[in-house]
Amino acid sequence: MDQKHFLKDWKSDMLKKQRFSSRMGKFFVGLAMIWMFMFMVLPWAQTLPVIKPIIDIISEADIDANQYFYTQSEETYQAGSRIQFRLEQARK
Amino acid sequence: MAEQVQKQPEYVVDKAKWEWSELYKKEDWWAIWLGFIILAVGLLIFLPRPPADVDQKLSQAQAIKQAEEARTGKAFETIEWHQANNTMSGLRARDQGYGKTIAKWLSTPGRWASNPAEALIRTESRAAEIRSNAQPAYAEAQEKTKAALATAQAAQAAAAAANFENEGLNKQAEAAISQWRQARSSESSARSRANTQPYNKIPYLIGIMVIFLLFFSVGTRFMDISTSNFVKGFAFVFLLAIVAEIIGGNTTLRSWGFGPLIWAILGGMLIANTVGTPKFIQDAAQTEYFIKTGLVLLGAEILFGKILAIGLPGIFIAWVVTPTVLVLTFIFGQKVIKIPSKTLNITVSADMCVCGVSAAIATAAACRATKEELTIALGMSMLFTAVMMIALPTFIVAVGMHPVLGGAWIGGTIDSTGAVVAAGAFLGETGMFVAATIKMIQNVMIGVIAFGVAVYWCARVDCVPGQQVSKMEIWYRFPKFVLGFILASIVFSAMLEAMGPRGDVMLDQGVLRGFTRPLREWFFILAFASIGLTSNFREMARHFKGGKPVILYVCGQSLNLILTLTMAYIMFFIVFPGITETL
Repeated sequence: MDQKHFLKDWKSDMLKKQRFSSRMGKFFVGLAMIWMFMFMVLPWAQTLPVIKPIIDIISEADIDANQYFYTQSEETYQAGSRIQFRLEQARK
Repeated sequence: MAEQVQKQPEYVVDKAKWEWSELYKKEDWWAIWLGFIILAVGLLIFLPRPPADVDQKLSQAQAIKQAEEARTGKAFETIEWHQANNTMSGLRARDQGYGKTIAKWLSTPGRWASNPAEALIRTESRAAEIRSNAQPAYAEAQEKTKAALATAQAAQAAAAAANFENEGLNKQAEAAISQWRQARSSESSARSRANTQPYNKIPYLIGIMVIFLLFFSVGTRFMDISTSNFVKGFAFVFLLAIVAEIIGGNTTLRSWGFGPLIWAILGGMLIANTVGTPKFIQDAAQTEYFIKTGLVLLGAEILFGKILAIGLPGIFIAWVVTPTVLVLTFIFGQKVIKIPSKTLNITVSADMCVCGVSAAIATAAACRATKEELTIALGMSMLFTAVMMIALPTFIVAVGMHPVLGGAWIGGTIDSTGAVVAAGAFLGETGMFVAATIKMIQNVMIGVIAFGVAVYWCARVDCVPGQQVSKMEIWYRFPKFVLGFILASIVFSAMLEAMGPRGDVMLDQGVLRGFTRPLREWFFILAFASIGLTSNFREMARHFKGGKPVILYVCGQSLNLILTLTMAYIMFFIVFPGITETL
């Protein structure tokens, strides 16, 4: 009876350990994929002739392509006053 | 409909009722109270402390601009005009001492290229190394600016000698002035590098984490959230947000537009779907609470005066095409593709045709979309934005399209502001200005879209078939945070208009960009870390069945591209060609 219990507990422990290892494995595979995307895929893509000219402009002008709203963008603030001036002049 | 009913049964009851206790028990109201407290604190900090002699400096700069406009008599921006304009835009309440202190406390981890630790700490020796490496480039940039200014002055003098009547001389002067401005901009970047300072962001990050913890935990005591678990788990949610900020601060990812928000979701999902998210962290991952508070703050940034920024053409491109595409895409999703979830359909449609991330967040909250649905919309938006940011300007330049037309096309179709500016910059200054302005007008639209979607969902979608919903019923069901969002927008729009140029200095470049915007960015990143930590891959895969969201996005965006280009052409080349020439 004791041996049966022992075997059952042992199996259950092994299953838990296996599940934990599998989860940790998936976690590290995920991290590795993010790392590859950041340090291998995108840097390589930036060297492609179609993409390089635009990435060069973004880097030179220090544009943050992450901004998702106009209040985050300094360029949009400048654009507003310039366009407004030109439209006012056109009305005159 | 069956799925809607199954998902959110509380919204389809026939007789919902109002209880005053909702004012302190529901997160919608807490979002409003917390958002309004932040806005009021911002006004109290900034409004009594304007930059020295602000009115005098503004009136002097305006007088110079008017004198220059009278001198040239046309849309010709002289060197003196630009200098006066720089003085005006350089007047910012957030650049005062107290504004810089606030910025230091609210700043997120910095940028880095190869060493992620630099996002948090920059030592004095590293700063000195950067300063010393940057000195020669700075000296060279200063010389270039001087030379460019001399050339611009000479070209402008020649144009002035002809009373600015000679188009050839005017063009030469404009080109020389543009080069001088570019040289000035390069000098400014070089000066920043030459003045690099050391920093340690960790104490400020710990401080702001404690402040946010106290700020949000007050509400948990009144809502159905375990305060002790919230306190225990919040540090983990905040830590994930910091990690996402560090990853998103990588210069390569920043150039592509893969910012911190997507890494917060992916990082959270990686944890939730592999090692698992513990219960106490789930209690701290209060997505709705963070996102709705952030949305009330976003409301204050929706300034209705901006919609006239580029006149009637802008209104037609952004305010006629965009809602048309939104409605048609939603109908297409329901009738043709038959997307099972209406909330996913409207979130993807709004995200695709309005302005990406911010529109998706506002729409998803207004129609109560699930976390997985919002994640799908954001993920697709970021991927397609990265592709369009490269493809669209490349195509425009290849076919030799006019920069005003190309800029309007970019501004009306690419989702996020940063990507619009980046793509517009490829067309030159005019293209970038037009693109950024059209996107700004479109951004303002999310207030109307969120309100419309909230009303439509209460009145038509969250009902049993055939149910007639009374006005009071709509009020009971209405997501109340939208009221705070709209009210903040109306109050700040009115204040900005009433204050005139001072409003730009004190509100736009003070309260909003110096205080509420960084807080709103923090709340959104906390919300997205929470989304990731409580999302389920299987649930997402279920929504992706048959690739329907992708088909919806691609078809909707194709329609958007066709209609925006057509409308931009009609407006800028047939109806208002004078405006195009002026721009």
